Amino acid sequence: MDASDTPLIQATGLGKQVLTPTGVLTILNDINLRINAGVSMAIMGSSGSGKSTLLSLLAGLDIPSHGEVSLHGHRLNTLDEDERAKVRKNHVGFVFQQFHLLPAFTALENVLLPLELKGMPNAREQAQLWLNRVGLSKRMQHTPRQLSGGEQQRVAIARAFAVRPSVIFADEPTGSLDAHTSWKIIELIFETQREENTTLVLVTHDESLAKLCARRMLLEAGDAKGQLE
Amino acid sequence: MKQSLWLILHFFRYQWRERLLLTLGLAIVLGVGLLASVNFFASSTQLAMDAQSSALLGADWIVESTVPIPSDEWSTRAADLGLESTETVEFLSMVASGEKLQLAAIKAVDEAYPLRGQLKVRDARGDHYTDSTPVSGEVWMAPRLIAALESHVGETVEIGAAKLTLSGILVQEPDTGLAFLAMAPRILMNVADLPATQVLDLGSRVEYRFLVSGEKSAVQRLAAEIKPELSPQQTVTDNMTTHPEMVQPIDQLLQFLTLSALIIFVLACLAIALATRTYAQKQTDSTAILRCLGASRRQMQIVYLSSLLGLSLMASFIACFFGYALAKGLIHFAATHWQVNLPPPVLSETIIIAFITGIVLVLGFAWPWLLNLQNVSPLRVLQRQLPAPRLATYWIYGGIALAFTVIWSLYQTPKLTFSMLFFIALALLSFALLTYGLLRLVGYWGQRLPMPWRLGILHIAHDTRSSLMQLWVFSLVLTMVFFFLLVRQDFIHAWKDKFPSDAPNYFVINILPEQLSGVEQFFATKEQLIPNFYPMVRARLIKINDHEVSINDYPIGDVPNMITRDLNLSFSDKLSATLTKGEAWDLSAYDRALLSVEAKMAKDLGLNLGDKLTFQAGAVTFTGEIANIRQVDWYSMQPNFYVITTPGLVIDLPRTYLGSFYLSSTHESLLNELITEFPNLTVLDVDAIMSSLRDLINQGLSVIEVLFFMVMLASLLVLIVIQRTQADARQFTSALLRTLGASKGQLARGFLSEFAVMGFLSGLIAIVLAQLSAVIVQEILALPSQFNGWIFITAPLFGLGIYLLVGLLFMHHMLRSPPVLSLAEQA
Ligand SMILES: Nc1ncnc2c1ncn2[C@@H]1O[C@H](COP(=O)(O)OP(=O)(O)O)[C@@H](O)[C@H]1O
Ligand SMILES: [Mg+2]
Repeated sequence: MDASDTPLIQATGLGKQVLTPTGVLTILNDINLRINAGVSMAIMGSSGSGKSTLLSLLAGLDIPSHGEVSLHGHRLNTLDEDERAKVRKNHVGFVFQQFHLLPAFTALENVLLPLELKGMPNAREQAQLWLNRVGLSKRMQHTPRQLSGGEQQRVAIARAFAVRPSVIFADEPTGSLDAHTSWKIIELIFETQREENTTLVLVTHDESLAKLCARRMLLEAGDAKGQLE
Repeated sequence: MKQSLWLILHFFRYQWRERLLLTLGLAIVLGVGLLASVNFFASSTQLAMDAQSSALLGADWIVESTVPIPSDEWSTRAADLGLESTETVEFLSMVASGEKLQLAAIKAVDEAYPLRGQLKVRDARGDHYTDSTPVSGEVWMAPRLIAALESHVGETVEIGAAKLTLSGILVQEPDTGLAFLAMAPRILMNVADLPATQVLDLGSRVEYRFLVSGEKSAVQRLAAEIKPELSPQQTVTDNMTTHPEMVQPIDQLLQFLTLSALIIFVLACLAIALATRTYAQKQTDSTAILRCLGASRRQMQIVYLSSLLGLSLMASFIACFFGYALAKGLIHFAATHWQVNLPPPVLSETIIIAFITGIVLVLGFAWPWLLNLQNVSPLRVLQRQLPAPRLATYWIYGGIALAFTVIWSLYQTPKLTFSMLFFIALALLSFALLTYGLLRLVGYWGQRLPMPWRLGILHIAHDTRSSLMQLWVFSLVLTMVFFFLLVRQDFIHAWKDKFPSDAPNYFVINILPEQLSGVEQFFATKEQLIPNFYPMVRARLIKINDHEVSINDYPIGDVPNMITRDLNLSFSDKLSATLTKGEAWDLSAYDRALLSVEAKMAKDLGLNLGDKLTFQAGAVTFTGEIANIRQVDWYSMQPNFYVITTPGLVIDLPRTYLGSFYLSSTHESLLNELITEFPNLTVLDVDAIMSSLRDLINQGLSVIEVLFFMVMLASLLVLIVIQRTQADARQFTSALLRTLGASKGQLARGFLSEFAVMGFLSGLIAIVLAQLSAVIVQEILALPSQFNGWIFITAPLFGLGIYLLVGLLFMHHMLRSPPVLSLAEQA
């Protein structure tokens, strides 16, 4: 498969509705999207506009009510849970607002986790390498509780990139951090993304962050309100 | 105040909606319900057992006397306490009918007799129970006596100077006592005819008995009042003195019942404590928000306390009825499936106890955690990373101990249960170190496992606090279950063997040596039956070594009976018994002067191997040396002897034989033939006691099955609660791993390894604890112990299986929900 002419991620007519006690709620409505490999794209929108939902659909964490998503040539609709998990394992990395590290595990083990799941050789060396890269060489044996928010997010970034995914999904990665730490984290993400030539889908409501991305898309109450190249 | 009320209502509604109260509510309903029903059930069983043993006595409490009893005064005092009472007069006298004359044991009674149990009579309809007694001018007689007198119902018999009409056939009285005392066949007459017989004036030996029955505490009060007034000729009789063989299983069963109630109690407490803890922990965030918005600590306390109070009130209310229904159901089940009739539970009293139990338990366990909530910083709202405040340990244990004490004091508290509790606490504490060590070990070895498997192991090894908590709780549950199973096994084992259905139910005494072969012949030809014969020689202990025995040396205890009266000695050329000391003997020792002494007698008299005992039989004295000390089960219905000698020592002394054998009730006419052929023999019938005992034991075994069911329910409850307390953390782990691309299979393997290790370790810890506890209980309850090494393999596997099972149920649910949902929830 040639990455240059086929988009890495392609969504067509994507919609998501959920059943609530008060009736059917439409969260996303007819979203169309193409993201090529190595590109960075920002999904913007106010809180509750459906950004996280879109992200979870693109990553195959959830299934859409309408439309289709294809990721790295896999049509996610046609796959079952485990097959989608396999696609994520091989091609996707995540960074969350709340870091989502396993509290019982050390920093090293948290990074090791996806490497081991994937069965990569030299997993331990790789994990140590990545923790070095994010500047945590001295904190490897610390558990999340012993790390600050910024440090936890660095671990999460190391964890996301360590498996050498084709795409990183980052959902408001700086949402829980102070401004100074936020910039450090953002720099780290973009720098690593460029070095590794990874595709980046960044969800944010922050204009200044979004401007760092090659492409931008605005969501408003579940509707796509234009895309910027 | 108004704001508080508003807060309370809204909070309650919110918690209800969020299902925060669900686990806790469930734990209370099931836990308290189980407690209540086991309490119902225990009191029912206790009543049934008491009734059963009282029936064997004809009363709840008896004074026996060889001198007349101030029965008028005593019966007034009994009546004042709301008790029933009656007097019986027993004596031996000749009875005449036509030409025939027979010695009979006569008992004069009034209409109130018997106070407990019923008389069994025989008429054209066959044998049946009746509540009536002979009216004045009439007597009832044992069939044996009627046969011997060749008399018939409707004819006249003479007792002393009185002429009375034989109007009934008496098959059995409830208070036959241990029939060894009642040598002669029985006549029952009305006490009003007693003066007319004039036999009492002749100075013959008379036994007066004053019988009391009624509410237990009132009986105890009366007993305490009368006891100090008794003369040396008057002795108190209760079940322990007449029916040790009956009292022991009842006592064991009731102890076991208490023990099971305690086990269920511990499990229910555990479930409620865990649920409350989880509940309180989940309130941390809302507390922070409310505190931030200006709610005072006091207000927060009131809010939580009232939601908990509301919940525990509601849940306890439901629990009472659940418990009542469960107890009723069990009792009904026992009645229809096992023919065991237990009295129905007393609703009011036990409901109140259950109610208090529920509230005190919840508040007792919640209180420390709620106290803790007031320390939640409002800052948490701004900084989620801020840790939840740690709970001061002494609050936890203080609260738990308080709740425990208050509740347990509502139930009876025998020494046994407290010592068990103490032991369990101690053992758990000492195992804390071991568990910790085991976890470290698991963590170390776990590093070498391939990934998905390693995941669970790492989880156990790293999240030490939570792992230890789970391990302890699960170990405790399993300890309870294993312990219950072990003791239950001992019970069944001890009881099943005790009274086999062909155990001797008749004894024949007074067989003369020259009659022995004739009697043997009789049974062999009529029934192909070979009774066991025991030779008996009557002799009195007069010297221990060179020291004359004197009552002054042994003023108390059972010793006076051993030295002031003739003992029944037996002899044997081959001693087969359980010896605690010394060597058995065989035929080669025939002419040596050896003695085998029963263990309790040896202890009471301070006897040792090699001591020489001198006995006097009539004019003859003889001396033997103690060769061994022998264990005797006084609770069995077997002929037992304090002293057994080698044959040579006593073979020349006058002796009789005692024969014991089993005869089914359809062949009882054989006994009359036996008496006709050998008129000097006396037949003792213990069939009634034996069948009562067998009934009792069957009831007991059924009760144990019911308890087993309840212990299992309680254990399951704790397991479900502990799984629920882990649910959030597991859900998060699961969602995150799925997001990172783990397949369901990988996840499952990760969790499986965790469950398997936890289950196995818990099983291992539990079986060690349970076995230790069981050994202690076996000692206390005097149960024979049996040891089976296999349990140390099967028990951990059992733990593993159960843990996997419960874990899988929750995992199934977890694996089904999409990862994105769970992650969002966590956030
Ligand atoms: N499973 C769901 N059930 C009900 N409502 C949902 C569900 N998932 C998301 N929503 C709603 O959809 C809207 C969009 O959610 P989300 O994608 O998280 O927005 P954003 O990330 O842009 O803040 C929100 O109003 C949210 O409450
Ligand atoms: Mg979002």
